[in-house]
Amino acid sequence: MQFRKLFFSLCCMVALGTSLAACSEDEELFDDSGSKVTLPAHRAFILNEGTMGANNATLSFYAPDNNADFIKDIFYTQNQAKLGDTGQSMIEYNNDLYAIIAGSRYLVRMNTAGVEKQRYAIPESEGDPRYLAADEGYIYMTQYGGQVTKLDANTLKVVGTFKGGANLEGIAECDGKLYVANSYTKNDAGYQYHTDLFVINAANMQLETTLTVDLNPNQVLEEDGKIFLISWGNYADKGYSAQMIEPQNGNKQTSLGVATNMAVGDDMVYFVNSETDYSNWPETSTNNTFFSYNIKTATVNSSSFLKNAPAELATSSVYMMSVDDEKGDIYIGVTFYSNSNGTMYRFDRNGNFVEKFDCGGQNPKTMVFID
Amino acid sequence: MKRLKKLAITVGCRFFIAMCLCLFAGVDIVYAQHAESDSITGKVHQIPDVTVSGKKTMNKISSVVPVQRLGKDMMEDLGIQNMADAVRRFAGTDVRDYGGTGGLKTVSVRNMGAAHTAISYDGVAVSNCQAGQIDIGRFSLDNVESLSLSVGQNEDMLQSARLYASAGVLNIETSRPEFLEDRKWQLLFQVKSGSFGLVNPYFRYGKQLGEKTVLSVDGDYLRSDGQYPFLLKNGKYTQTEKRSNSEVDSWHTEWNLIQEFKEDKKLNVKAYYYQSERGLPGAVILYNPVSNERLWDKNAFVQAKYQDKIAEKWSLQVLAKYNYAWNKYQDKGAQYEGGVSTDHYTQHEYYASGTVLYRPFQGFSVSLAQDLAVNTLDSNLPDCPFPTRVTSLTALHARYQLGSVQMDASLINTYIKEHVESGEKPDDLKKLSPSFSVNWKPFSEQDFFLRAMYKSTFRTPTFNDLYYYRLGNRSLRPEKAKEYNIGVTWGAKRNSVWDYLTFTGDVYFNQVTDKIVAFPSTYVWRMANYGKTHIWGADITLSMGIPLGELFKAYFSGSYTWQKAVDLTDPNAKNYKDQLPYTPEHNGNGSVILETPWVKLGYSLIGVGKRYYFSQNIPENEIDGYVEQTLTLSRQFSFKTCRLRLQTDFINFMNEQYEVIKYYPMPGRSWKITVAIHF
Repeated sequence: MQFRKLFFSLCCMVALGTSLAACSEDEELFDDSGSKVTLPAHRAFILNEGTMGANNATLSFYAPDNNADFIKDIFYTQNQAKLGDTGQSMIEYNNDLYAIIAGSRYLVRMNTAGVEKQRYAIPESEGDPRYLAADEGYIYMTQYGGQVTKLDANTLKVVGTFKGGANLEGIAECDGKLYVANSYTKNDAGYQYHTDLFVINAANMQLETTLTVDLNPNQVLEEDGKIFLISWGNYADKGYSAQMIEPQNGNKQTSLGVATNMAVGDDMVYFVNSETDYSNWPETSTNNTFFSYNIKTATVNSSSFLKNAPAELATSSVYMMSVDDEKGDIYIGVTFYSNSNGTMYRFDRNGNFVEKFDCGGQNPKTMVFID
Repeated sequence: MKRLKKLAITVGCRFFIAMCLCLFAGVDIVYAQHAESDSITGKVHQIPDVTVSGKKTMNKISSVVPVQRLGKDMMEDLGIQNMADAVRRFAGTDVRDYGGTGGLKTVSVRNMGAAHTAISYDGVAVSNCQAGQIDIGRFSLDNVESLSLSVGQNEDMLQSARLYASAGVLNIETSRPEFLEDRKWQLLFQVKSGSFGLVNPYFRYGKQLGEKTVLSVDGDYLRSDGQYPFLLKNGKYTQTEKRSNSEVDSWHTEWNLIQEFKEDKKLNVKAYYYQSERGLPGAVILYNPVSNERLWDKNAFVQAKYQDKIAEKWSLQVLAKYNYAWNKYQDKGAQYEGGVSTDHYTQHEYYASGTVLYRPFQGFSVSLAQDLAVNTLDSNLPDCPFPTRVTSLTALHARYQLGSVQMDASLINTYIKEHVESGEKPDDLKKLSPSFSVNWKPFSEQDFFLRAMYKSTFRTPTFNDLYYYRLGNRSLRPEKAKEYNIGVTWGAKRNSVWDYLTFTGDVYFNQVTDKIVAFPSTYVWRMANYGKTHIWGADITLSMGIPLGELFKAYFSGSYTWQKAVDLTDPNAKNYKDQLPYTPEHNGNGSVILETPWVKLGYSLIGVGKRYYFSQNIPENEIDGYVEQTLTLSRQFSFKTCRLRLQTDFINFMNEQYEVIKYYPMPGRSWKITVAIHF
């Protein structure tokens, strides 16, 4: 009898424990505490940069499964305050969103519903914040003026800094190392563009080595243990370029083509070269060239990864691209600058056009997915 | 009824006599002098049977084109704060005011852009080849006699070709010294002080050097900390903030020599210097109060204007000017090596203009104006090509008076040649711009005019448009504007209700093509000819003087503007056919001046409807409309040897919190006291 009771109790405890564990996992996945709206499990957020000086950075909500309404500015909905000026970058880490609002000079941590949890204001003596990476419970933030700040992801307390270089831009983490673009110096002689990609030990924030890359490195992403870099050139005789760096292969560099923006996901790297052609002046237009790199097969596919894109996308200024890891869908955000809100084009993993929609703000800068 | 009519006539007559006496006594001598100073152009070129506009009217009745005017007394009586505050009371103007004493203030006429509007300072155009637009905020009102705004073709035939070539002209006329009693000298001290640390002393010394020579020296100093409070609304948060880094410290001096050789032969020489240092507060950025930008300005010019009626049928005007403009812009931040970035710009202008007017027979006049200007720009910016621009403008203007119809036609030829020390130079520019206007007075006994006007103008790309680091584009074409206007003016005869009443109404259509805009290109923008706008509008103005017995007088004026200005650049764009940014569909203003034996009371109101601060007309981009009201009390005391004037202004006394430019809040309620003593 005692044994039966004990066995029954144990079964109950296991069942309860299992249910609690599942519950806690759910909570961990979807920390929607404080949310004023009910959001589906599969969700996406677009950070719209806005226009400098107009305090119109916004965070838009989008349901990839089309099971909830689009929300133009979910940050305002949830927090009853504006996000601020110039949405610069955003990442998802440990089921939280971290965003840099550069003009307002702060880093904000939000839950998966866009409810603010903490913010870190950049000290006046430091440069504007730029891009983010995260690993092992820490957030790494590049700043102008040559600084990478390491913050505790749960408290946003500064735990370390790296100082070096000039104006730092993109950052990516790979195997405990931070790959940071040292882009340019601005002085009385104008803009001096650099060719440095710093490799910094994330644990002690010390510089390990400096890789020489193409002129004016900017966007840095990591996928499948490889670093992908886009350099912007000098806007004159040296143009945009894309490179791959293989940390596990002695930081070997491979040129992948000419590109202004890229996105990684699903073992793929998607590139676009979205430049304005002035050669037929006064007829000017932006012409987009899309191509991809398959990391598994190590091959560049120079033909477009889009199959039936709306015609206008070929001549729109692409401001961002992003990949939804769950479905492999590709999102391409185009900008109309201050004239109007941006437009997002969605394609499935095979490049078939799915839909397009208004971004809810100007200059869509980045899009992150939670599922 | 008869008695009432008799009383009204008596009151009217008395008012008229009083006005005449005042004019002769010199109380309103400034007006008399103004009319006199315009004698060459005024007598020869205005159409016959013109009714002289009343004391406080804001429009010129006879004009072929819409002309609005604000005199010194009206500006004082209404407590007008600065040049921008004055200009925004003209119908059809769009003043961009970035707030505060030191904030940039530009004027655009009928939405064609600030670069299409010329600013004339005592008859000579003020230029800025670098940016194309003039900051009217830096001009002091202390020595300004009148402001007038003409849209389209100015009716003065003895003007420079540069003024002919503009879509609209804001004319600033400075005042001549006013000598009390039999003196040959004038000394005037004035101090203004008010909210936000405003201190603004001004002096004038005037001297009759000979029978026909007058010298005047003006000087003013202005400082303001500009730390005015404003209400910042951000969702659930509403807090009172203070504008920071908005102090301004400036001074200005001006020397004028007027030599009248004989009737209709006159020489004006002006030397001008202005210097300022100011903080640039920038837009209010949420969560980030830090602002480090500063600007230093120095501007000096010498100009001479000679007018001569050389023969019975010939008149001549010659202008010459040298202008020096220097500014330094500084910003601080970790993004700059050493934490500071400093840019210097220096501009020189050498300018000469000659205009000849010929009247071969009664009713026909023809004038030819030829301008030559050389402009240079030096800068420490990288890749500055140190451009030199040579501009030749030729304007041929003919006027024919056929009975009650006046017809005007003009043709302006522009030739611009540019030299650069590095890189390719832009192509030479050669362009003809015609304009036509007709003015008809259908009833000989009525001051009622009908008018129609067409004018073609363009704006040349500025040095910034062409050469600015990365952004500049040396292949730019000029931005073209076409103006069409029909209008009516009515000057009602004096009766028992009013001493004067003038009404103007204009309907217009403007077309701007090849707009010079920053063209969207990924990450790096570039200037391009890429825009097309259509502007429909209607302006109405009304002024009247109402006698209220022997001791009281009231003056009323008001204007209203309706404007539909749409972007037609790209039919597929989200902002296609949307209202242009910062263009209210409705705006207007009104003012009342009440003269009593004890005090003069001025009340004015400006109302602006909702606008959009970006091209896309969506609710997020909306700016609320506003109504700003100002109340002014003033009194002048006449003593044996001097006159004392005291004035108090209650500016925006309802404390309306508003913005002209989004996130550049304007000051709320403030006050100002003025004490002026005139010997």
